[in-house]
This record gives sequence, structure tokens and C-alpha cells, in this order.
Amino acid sequence: MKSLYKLICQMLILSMVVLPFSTQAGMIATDKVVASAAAQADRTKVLDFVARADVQKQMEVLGLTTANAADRVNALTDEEVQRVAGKIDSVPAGASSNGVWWAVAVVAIIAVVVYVYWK
Amino acid sequence: MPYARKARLLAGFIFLMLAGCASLGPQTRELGKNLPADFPQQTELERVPFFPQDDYYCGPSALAMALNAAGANVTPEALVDQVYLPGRKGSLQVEMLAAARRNGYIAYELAPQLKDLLTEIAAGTPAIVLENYGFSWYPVWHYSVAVGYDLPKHDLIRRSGFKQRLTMPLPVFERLWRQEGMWAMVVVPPDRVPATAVETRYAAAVVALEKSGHLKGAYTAYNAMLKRWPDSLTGQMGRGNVAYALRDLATAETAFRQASTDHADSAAAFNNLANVLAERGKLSDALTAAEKAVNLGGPMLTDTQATLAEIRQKVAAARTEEAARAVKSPPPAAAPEQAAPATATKPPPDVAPKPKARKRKTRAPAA
Repeated sequence: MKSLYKLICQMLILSMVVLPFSTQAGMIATDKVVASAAAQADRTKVLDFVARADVQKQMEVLGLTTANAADRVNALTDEEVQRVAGKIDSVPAGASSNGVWWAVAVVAIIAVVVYVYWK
Repeated sequence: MPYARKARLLAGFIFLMLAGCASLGPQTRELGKNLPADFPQQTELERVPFFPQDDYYCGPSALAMALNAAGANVTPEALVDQVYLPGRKGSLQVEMLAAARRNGYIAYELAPQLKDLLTEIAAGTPAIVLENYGFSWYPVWHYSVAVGYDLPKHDLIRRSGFKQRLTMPLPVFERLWRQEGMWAMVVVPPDRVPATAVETRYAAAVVALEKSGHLKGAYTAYNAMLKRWPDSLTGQMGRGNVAYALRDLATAETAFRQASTDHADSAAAFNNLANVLAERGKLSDALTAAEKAVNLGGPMLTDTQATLAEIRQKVAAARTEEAARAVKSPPPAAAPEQAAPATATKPPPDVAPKPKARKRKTRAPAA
């Protein structure tokens, strides 16, 4: 964890130093045309970078290889990264419909416990 | 336990059940009012293939069904590495979207409306839906593919789990679906705009496809977008940017000209037009467009200023070259410093001298 913070700090320092001078002449990308002015601030770029690093780390913790996690984070848009950053453990993960029976079992057990307790 | 207490419990239980039923399907009840009179009463997309899921793989199988229905040829197994997250024993919504794009298709999230879901099915597009069979405190999430409905019977038809054709009463489905915010997505080929698509959100979906590197698909999608929304700025800019990336500069120029005509306040349109014109050697027009882009200001001012500076540099280089050529009348093989290779071989364009001294970062190139 400490090394992650260190990495983030280094990236923040680097980006603050480098970003203001990194503008190049050239084409303006389509996503910049769509995005609001706020989304184009350098600060947002840094936050996106950090969020991506966080999501990739979390994916590795959840069982992906480093290379696969990197590929999959790259496939997400900035907005999608923001939707899961920091809450990859709690956002919906569609899984098996077999789980339905667990839900029914849990409800049944609670019902039995309540009934026995109050009888 | 005293009877009074039992009675109260029973009353409470019945009240909760009734309250639950009453709120079971508000959108289902409104369907009659919200759907057009000529809306088809029954639809079933039988051609949507079925992949029974293994273990926790409802994400990969649902996505495989949607992708194959859209024209892809992909198995659930091939998608496991793109969407399945072992530690969660499931697949995240954002990865379902991303994986559709990785396979070259457009992923579009529907508005949280039952009528939009049915409209897409009626238009021939199956939709992946996320339900929660559990509770907010014990969620059991599940993806399935909605492929049909029967309004007189109030049924929704889905491919789900091991069932190729699972019917469920619409109000019950609505209840399970509402727990996760009525989330649904469709997968469409780039030449097809979903029936319920909204311009801004569809634009974002196409931009995401462009950024994923599927340039040809994105080009097709921008063209399809311009057919539905002819003056869409994103459509015009996207078309130009993809054409530029594919090195089709003539099409790029046409697209950016159209964008700067239809959206005279778009600095990005003028900026990109200026870049393409400069690359095509039309320096005089490029300078005009770049100046216009800077004058429009806005959040992309640093980019437009950089473009203007570069084009001024090219203009200066072209003029220096012209002067050098005039001095040494038979032009030598070694041309003077080539600051702009695109213009070095072309005859210098006629550019009126610009006395404007506004923020001229340009260094005069050494001749």
C-alpha cells in the first residue's frame, strides 16, 4: 500500500511539473469536444490517472494477472473508471442465477429464526 | 407470545406485502399510456443464439449472445478474460460495455425505462439486463438477455442461465430490475443506431469505440450518427478526426469545414480544420482558420494557440525558403533548413504579411 501511495505522489509531482508545458500543437480529439470544460482540467487528468492505477490494482487483488488487468483498465473510458474506482468491491457484479436459491434460503432461515424466537 | 402481539405482527406483514405489491410495477402499469398506439403487441427475437452459462459466467454468456446477435462470432469462453472478475465471482457493468467495444461493436446503455427496453426489442435489438434477485443488503445480481415480450399476457421473455426461453410477468421483472436502477445495455454494429438512442449519450458511445482503436468501425458509426442527427458536432468532428487518423485528409477537410460552418462557435472545429489545411499545404486558409480558433477562446485555448504558433512558423519558413530561392536563383539541391517538410516541396503559398504581434511565441527559423 505504501508503495502505491509513493507511486501516486511521484506521479502527482511529475504531472504538476510537466502537464502545464505538455501542450502540443495538433488535432483536438473527439472526446474533448464532447467533454465539458471541467473534464479537461489538468487536475482531472491527474485524478483519472490515479483512478486507473487504483482500479488496476484492485483488479489484480481480485484475481487478474497484471497484464490482463492493464488491458481491461485501458478498455474503460474515463467515465467508466470513475464509476468503479474505490468501490470495485461493492458495485454490482452479475453472476450466477443459482444464487437465487441462496437468497431464498437466507430468507427462509430468517423467517424460521424469527418464528422460533417469537413463539 | 400474546395474541395481540401476533395480530400486530401479522397486520404488519400483510401491510408490507400489500405495499410491496402496490409498488411492484409502476412502469408496467403506465406502458399502455407510454407506448405508441401502433406498437407491436408481441415480439420474440428467435434468432438470438443461446449460450447456457457455466458457474458464475452469466456475464460472458449474456455478452456472447448480444454480440452474436449483432453479427459477431464469439464464444462466452473467449469473453471470460475480458469481463469475468474471479474475486467477485461475476462481471462488472462497465466491463460488459468495454468488452463489447473491444470486439468492435457499440455498447449503449438504455435509459432506465421499461418502454425503452421493449422499444429496442421491437426494433430487433436484444438487450442485456441486470436484475437483483436478492435484497439491497444481500444482493444476488444476474445478467440475462431480454429477447421478447407479450403485452397481452404481460410477459417478458429472456435467455437466462440454463433456460433458453424464460418468461416472467413484467411487473415481477420490473421489481427485480428496479433494484439495480433498471440497467440495460444493447450491443449494435457500427452502422446501426439503437432505436431509443439519444444524441449525446450515443455520441459518447461512439467516441469510446474510437478511443478503443476501432477506427474503421468508428468512422462507420459517425456516418450513421450524421444520418440520424445531420448537424451533430460530435458526429462531424469524429468523422474528421477518424478520417485524419486514417490519413484520408480530403475527407477530414470536408468534415471539419462542415463542422466549422454548422458550428461557427466551435474552436475545436477551426483548430482541426487549420491543422488539416496546413498539412495539405493550404497555408493561407490554415492561418485564417487557426486565428479564428484562437479568437473563439474557450477551454481549448492552449491547444488552439499552439496550432496558431505552429502554422505561423510554417508560414515564416515558407517565406524564408522563397526568399532564399530568390537570392540563389538556380535552387541548390540542399534546401534551406526544412522546418516544415510538407511545404518544402510545394511552391510557397501567397500569404499576406501579418503585422499582428499578439503572443508570438514563434521563433523566427534560422535561414
